[in-house]
Amino acid sequence: MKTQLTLRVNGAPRDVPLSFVGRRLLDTLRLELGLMGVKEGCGEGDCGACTVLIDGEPMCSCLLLTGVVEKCEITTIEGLPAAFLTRFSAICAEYGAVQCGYCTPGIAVMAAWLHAGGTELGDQPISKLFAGNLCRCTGYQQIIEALTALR
Amino acid sequence: MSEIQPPVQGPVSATRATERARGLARYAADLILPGTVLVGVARSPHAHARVISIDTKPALEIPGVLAVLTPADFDGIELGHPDTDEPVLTRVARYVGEAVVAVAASDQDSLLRGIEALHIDYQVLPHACSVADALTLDQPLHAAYPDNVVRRFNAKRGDWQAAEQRVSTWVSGTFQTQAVPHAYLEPRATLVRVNGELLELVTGSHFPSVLAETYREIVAGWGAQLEVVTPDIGGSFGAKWEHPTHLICLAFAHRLGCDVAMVLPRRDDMIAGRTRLAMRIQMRIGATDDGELVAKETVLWADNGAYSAHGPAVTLAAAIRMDNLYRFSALNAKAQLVYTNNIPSECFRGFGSPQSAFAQEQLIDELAERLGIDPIELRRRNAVRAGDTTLHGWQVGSCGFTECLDAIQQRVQAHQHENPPSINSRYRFGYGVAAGTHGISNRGYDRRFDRALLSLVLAPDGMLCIESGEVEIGCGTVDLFGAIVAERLKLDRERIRVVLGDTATVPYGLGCFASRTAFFGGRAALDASRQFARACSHLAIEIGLPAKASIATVIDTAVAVGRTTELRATGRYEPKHVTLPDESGYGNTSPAYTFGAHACCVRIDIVTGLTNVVHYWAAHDTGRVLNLQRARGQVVGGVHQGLGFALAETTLVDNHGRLQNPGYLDDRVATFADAVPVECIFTSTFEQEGPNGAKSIAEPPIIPVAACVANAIHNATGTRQRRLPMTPERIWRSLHTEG
Amino acid sequence: MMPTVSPVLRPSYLPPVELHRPNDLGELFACVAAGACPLAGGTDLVVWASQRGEPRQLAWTGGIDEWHIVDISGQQVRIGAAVPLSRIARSGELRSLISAVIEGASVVGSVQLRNQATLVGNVCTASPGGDTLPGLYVHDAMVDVVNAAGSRRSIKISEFICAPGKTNLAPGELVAGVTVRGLGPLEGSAFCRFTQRNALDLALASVAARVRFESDEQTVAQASIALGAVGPTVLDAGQAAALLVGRTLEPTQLRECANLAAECCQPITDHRASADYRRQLVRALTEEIVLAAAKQVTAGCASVEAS
Ligand SMILES: Cc1cc2nc3c(=O)[nH]c(=O)nc-3n(C[C@H](O)[C@H](O)[C@H](O)COP(=O)(O)OP(=O)(O)OC[C@H]3O[C@@H](n4cnc5c(N)ncnc54)[C@H](O)[C@@H]3O)c2cc1C
Ligand code: FES
Ligand code: FES
Repeated sequence: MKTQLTLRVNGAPRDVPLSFVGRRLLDTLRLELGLMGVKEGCGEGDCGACTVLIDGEPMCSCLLLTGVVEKCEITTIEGLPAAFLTRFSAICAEYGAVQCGYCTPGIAVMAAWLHAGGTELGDQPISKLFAGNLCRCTGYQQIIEALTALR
Repeated sequence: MSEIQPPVQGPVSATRATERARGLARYAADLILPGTVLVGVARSPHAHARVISIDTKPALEIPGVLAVLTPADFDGIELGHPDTDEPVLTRVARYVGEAVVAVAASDQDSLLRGIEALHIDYQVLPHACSVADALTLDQPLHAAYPDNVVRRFNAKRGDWQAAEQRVSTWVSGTFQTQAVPHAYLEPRATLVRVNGELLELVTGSHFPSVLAETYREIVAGWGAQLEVVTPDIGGSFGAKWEHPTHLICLAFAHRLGCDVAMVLPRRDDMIAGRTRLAMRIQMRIGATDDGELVAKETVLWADNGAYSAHGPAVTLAAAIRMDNLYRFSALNAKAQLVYTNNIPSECFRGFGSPQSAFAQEQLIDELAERLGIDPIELRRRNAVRAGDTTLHGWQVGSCGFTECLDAIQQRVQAHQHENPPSINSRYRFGYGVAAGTHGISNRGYDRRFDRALLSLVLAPDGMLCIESGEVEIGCGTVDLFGAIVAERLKLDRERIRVVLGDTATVPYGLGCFASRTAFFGGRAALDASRQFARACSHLAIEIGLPAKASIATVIDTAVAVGRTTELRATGRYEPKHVTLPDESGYGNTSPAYTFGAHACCVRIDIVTGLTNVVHYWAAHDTGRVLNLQRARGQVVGGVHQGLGFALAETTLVDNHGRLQNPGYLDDRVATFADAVPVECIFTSTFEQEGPNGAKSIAEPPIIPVAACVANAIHNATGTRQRRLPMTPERIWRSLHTEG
Repeated sequence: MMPTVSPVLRPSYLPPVELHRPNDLGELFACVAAGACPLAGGTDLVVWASQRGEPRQLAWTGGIDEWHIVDISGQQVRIGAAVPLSRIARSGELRSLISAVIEGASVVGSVQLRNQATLVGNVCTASPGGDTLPGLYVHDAMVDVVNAAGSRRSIKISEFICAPGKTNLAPGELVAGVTVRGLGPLEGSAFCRFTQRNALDLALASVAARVRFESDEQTVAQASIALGAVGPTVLDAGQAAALLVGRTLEPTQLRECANLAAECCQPITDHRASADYRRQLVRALTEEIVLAAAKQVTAGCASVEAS
């Protein structure tokens, strides 16, 4: 009888108790695995602060039940390539793209996805691609400038 | 003060920003450890009801439920500032969503079961969810206020009769503004850590010292002590003051003797959060034929919601502050603040001025049209100037208002020139202008004083610690203080650590509100640096270094010889020339004042009423700009919050007082796809009183926005918008009834 | 006044959920028979469960391999119940074959949500404002319903959805997928919605249209129009569409059609918009979208000629 659920998180297998099968992935990542870079802003799919990559595709971890992604590769901001994060954070600072910073990890994950995604999505405007990531502080302009520079 | 420094360009030091962008920031909810007891509340489903009985037994029988608190556990405790009227858990629910019973459990599932198992009986009372209903309700919400009017303000200045006689043209209107949630991205989260008799309240509030002061008194009654720890704060915009959740958690932690935490789901955060005060404003402004603004009369009703918080102060500000923008001869303002069964209101970026600007700046526009004077020119002719003392007693130091007006005029003209009006049957284009002013801090807030303290302490490890009760909420305070100290002491930024808002160590501070932090904290940082430098030169001589040795050298030597404790200094700033305002708000309440003028170009689809802001210009007199990116960030962010207030956001309440749109989806906070290009212009003003010539920029950008858009809509379509938000449907309707 | 006992307003945390993850249809039906609610992307279900505290027993449909299939055979397209919106929205082939459906799928929520949410979930939620629904109506969608005994029935979408949030699904039945009739020669379709925000918003009104021309590429041979968010379900504005048949798309024709569409819808007034404003939106959108559908034919032909 299985007592653990094995997830693949940021490239490594991680065991969590079976009781997490029916809990939100967001809770599993934060409460069980201590990945506090994943934020909860709304718990209803509106804000994107909880964005993670599931097999390379961004999704809202607040609306995913953990059991559903057992066989998937899960990437949180903690698992993004170090070189990318260094560049992303430097550009954010340079352009003034971060205020309270609560929305930023979700945006970082989206940016990493875009970065890896190459040409397929390349022609879509940032304003459309990032519409699922709310920011109440910045008015977006400086984030858009930073993301444009990152591209 | 006349320590002129070259303007600082680009990022000064972006340590906080880079950490945050890497996901390393830690907000209150991130600090909750596994095994922490979780707290939740049962909320009233009624807008107004007396709690008749509470049966907690079924909840306590649920395994995992550890304790339950009821209103009786908080008898005699009420929150509010300065008036206290809000219970922690209530015996009379005064809005839908008010907390009645609190439950603590070992895990979330038991917590939910516990809350669902509670039995609460109510006697439903008649309710009022609008000011008009509350004024006629025969049931007072609070016994001490039989007519539901919390406060009345009267402010009369100048010789009204004489002024009235000089008026040749009056314009008037009645304006309605709405409540909106602050909608910060981090929902309210509270963690209480227990350390013997010490309760550590970990919560993202920008007023840690104020919270500590309020709560210490209460927990002292339980025999406990309290400190506040300030983690990263995920936005607030005025909302995160004292809140019942804090005391509920403190009480459980004290009773159970273990760490407890409560994180509000977004929905709960919205129904039991706070909102901007909705207002109904009747205003008239009179001018002479040659465009002198002579008299202004304001009658204002403000919706306080169920409890007061900063409602009285906001109402007074809304009634008078915007008057200071022009050289009126006489003013007459009356305001009433009314209790309703709505979500309690709270201050919100702009502190009442976005509401009154919506009225005033539209009327100025109407006057300009009636008098045949360009709206920017009319404002310029009447603009307040440096050296003025306004009718409300503001002593205006530096003032770049006319420079702002000139700047937007030039931008708008250039834009009009490049984009000649196109003839299109479906889309109409228009330009609008509006202005605003704001103080820096508010002497009236705390009757004792208005000041900031900041300590520089050399830690044994050689890091120079900046410690202050003035906190960081995303405006860049950490970086600003760090930059000022680094620049002054010629130290590497890497050698400086910034600790803000941990009340156990930092000196008292009023906190981050009223656009005061950079100004007050910045001045205290300068003062602390000066004192610290002096301490360094004393120590240098004692330990045999040249008196002119660099601070870095002195610090290194002090660490080597174990004399770090001698290097500490506390800087302070308390403006000399501010005065405590009287009942009617008269007084020089701030050490300096900021000014701004905005313009925008809108495109309106007359078939659907949809308004697109095509371009936005925001010119601000913020004194010397300390960090261009940060200042832009405040302006662009403020303008977008203003656009949400103008066009989309609102708290919609049904007949039963239930919030219809608790959540981002239905509140319609702007998304990336709604971002508008904002061009920021800063004047060349230098404020003698400010830190390195600076003033402030946090709140001013939101103030003129709704009026600016309304004026542009009028310019495009000929219809006047008196009601916020100016949704497509409202605009479409006004085109059909007026146009 | 009478005291009233009221339910407690609970915090909107997700309650403890028992999640089943069946790997074949038999297991899935067993779970459903035992009371579990089918879970696809969860973008509706998880939100409801958090708000209302139920359902608490869920059976994930993503483990059923055959439900991940998108099958295109000639003009027919079959989309399995576990296919996320982003997968169909990114397909160029589908975009030209079932344009109105894809245009609807492309505006649902956000990038993140479209990676999770399924087309069948959107259908089963049966919201009058579901953004893929008007497109599915004009593309004559048939909903493939299966039961534990293995019997299948295929129901017209307009019959499958019967009221706001209500479908004709009998207890124990599940939706296996949706089959739609793609565009043929001389045919075009389009979808458009009106929202206040430019993204991540729910439609105040939406319209899909499908137009087939005679070989002259000017005279309308066949047309259908479906209206969203302006009635208890998506409405088939057949009468309005009929006005176009046998005519060319002149402005007066279009206006007449749009006016009739606005008349035959049954909007309600709620906190989002009033009934007459929604009618006005239908009027505005209908004109626009019929033209957009027509343009697909003319533009499509132009590209054929060019190649
Ligand atoms: C922030 C946000 C924004 C949104 N924006 C939009 C929008 O713009 N437009 C729009 O149309 N929708 C929107 N939605 C709603 C939602 O995303 C869609 O309805 C989505 O298509 C639902 O699909 P799902 O796979 O997530 O369904 P689920 O949530 O998994 O299920 C939805 C319903 O379908 C049932 N169901 C699922 N599969 C089956 C099956 N095989 N057989 C029988 N029943 C089944 C479930 O039991 C449930 O009742 C939004 C939702 C959120 C949270
Ligand atoms: S927390 Fe998941 S989208 Fe907001
Ligand atoms: S920086 Fe605060 S929400 Fe984006």
